[in-house]
Amino acid sequence: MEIKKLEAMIEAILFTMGEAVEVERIASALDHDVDTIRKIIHNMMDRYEGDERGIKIIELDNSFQMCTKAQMYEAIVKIAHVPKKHILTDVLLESLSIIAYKQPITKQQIESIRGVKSDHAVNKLVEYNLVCEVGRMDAPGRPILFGTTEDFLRNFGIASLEDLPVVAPEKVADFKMEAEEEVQLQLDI
Amino acid sequence: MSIPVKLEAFEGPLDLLLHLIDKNKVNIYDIPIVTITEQYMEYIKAMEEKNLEIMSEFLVMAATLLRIKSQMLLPVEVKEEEEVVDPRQELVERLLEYKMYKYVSYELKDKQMDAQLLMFKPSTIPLEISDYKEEIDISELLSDLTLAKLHTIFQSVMKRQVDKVDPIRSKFGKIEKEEINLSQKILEIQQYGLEHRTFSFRRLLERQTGKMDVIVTFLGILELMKMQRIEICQNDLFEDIMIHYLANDIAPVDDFSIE
Repeated sequence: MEIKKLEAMIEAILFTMGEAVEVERIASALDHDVDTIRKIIHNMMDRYEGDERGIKIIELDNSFQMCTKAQMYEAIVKIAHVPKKHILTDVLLESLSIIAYKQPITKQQIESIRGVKSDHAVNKLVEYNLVCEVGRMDAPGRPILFGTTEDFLRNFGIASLEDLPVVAPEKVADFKMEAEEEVQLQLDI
Repeated sequence: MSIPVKLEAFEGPLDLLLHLIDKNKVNIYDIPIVTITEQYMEYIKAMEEKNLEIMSEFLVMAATLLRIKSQMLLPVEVKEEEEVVDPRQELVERLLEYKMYKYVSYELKDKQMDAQLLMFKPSTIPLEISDYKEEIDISELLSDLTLAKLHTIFQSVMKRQVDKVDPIRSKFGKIEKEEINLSQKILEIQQYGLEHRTFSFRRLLERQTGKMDVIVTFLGILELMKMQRIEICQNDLFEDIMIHYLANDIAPVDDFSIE
């Protein structure tokens, strides 16, 4: 019974707040410990996934946020004039993925991977609030270190950086095999 | 031979190299450097790029390719206990890393497409809730306050106000060189004496507007005593000194001044 009440309150909080709410804030508002609240929300998330619901709860780092499900998009677009969102160009995506996987990273390091100047790309990403300054490198000129934002996670439907897509391990294995064969050949000569 | 691709198709030299490697269907770990370099140079020649910034990046790669090519043509001295490093190795590593991020960026693109279908709602907290402040119980707040206490608090606040004024710095203003003319002062004292005949030394000093003024006034009194234009008397120790002005006119004074 107690849990049912908490769930109702969490639902109301997430609905009202709209934005992502840290689990600690919810826990302190409901006067419960963080772990319990997190478990309850995870439980709710599973139940929301059912077909009878049009909304769901997503997790971003240490926060939770309510939103509509992807399947609802068509209907919503018809009823509301949804503003067209940015789809990133390949150049921006390339820089963004480097930052996402290698953060914290300097502009210089991004450029050395891409082999091209990346000022424009990084500036645009900062402008879209997908990337932000996360510190300075302890090196001459103290270059800016970049990392991804919560907006990035939300925009790409990723719960945390650990959930970034992994490069398929079989690909890596293939490369390794080839490399070993190369070495063999060289030794044979 | 010309390559039927527009420059815009490539994000940079690494992108172009990967394209050529794919097109020739060669193993990335065993790049036929001669063939690839030739094709790369062809491409650069065909590039009608006026932008030096972009062009230079492609040229740097071309130079790298040529360097690798020449290194591979030269005989390698194999020394004992020394690994033979393939001159292509560094380039291969860069290409692999770039390839991985390119691959990942496509994955991210798909994810973004999916995530774009979710709708979020802005915060809707009515003002009366977000601005709500708990009411303050005045009587509880004032329960142990007495008039005496209030007075003490008031006093300490006022004292703090005074203490806040830096007694030294607060006197800083425009620093001017004070120049008080002694003869001018003597004339003033005579004028004052003529009006009052008998007057208090303390009262005279109190009229002065600065330390320098007081000193000069004192000097002026001494000067006037020397000139025998005044006489002074004091009834008791530490009592006020009374000054009698003896003359009936104002004597001109030789012009000298102290600073």
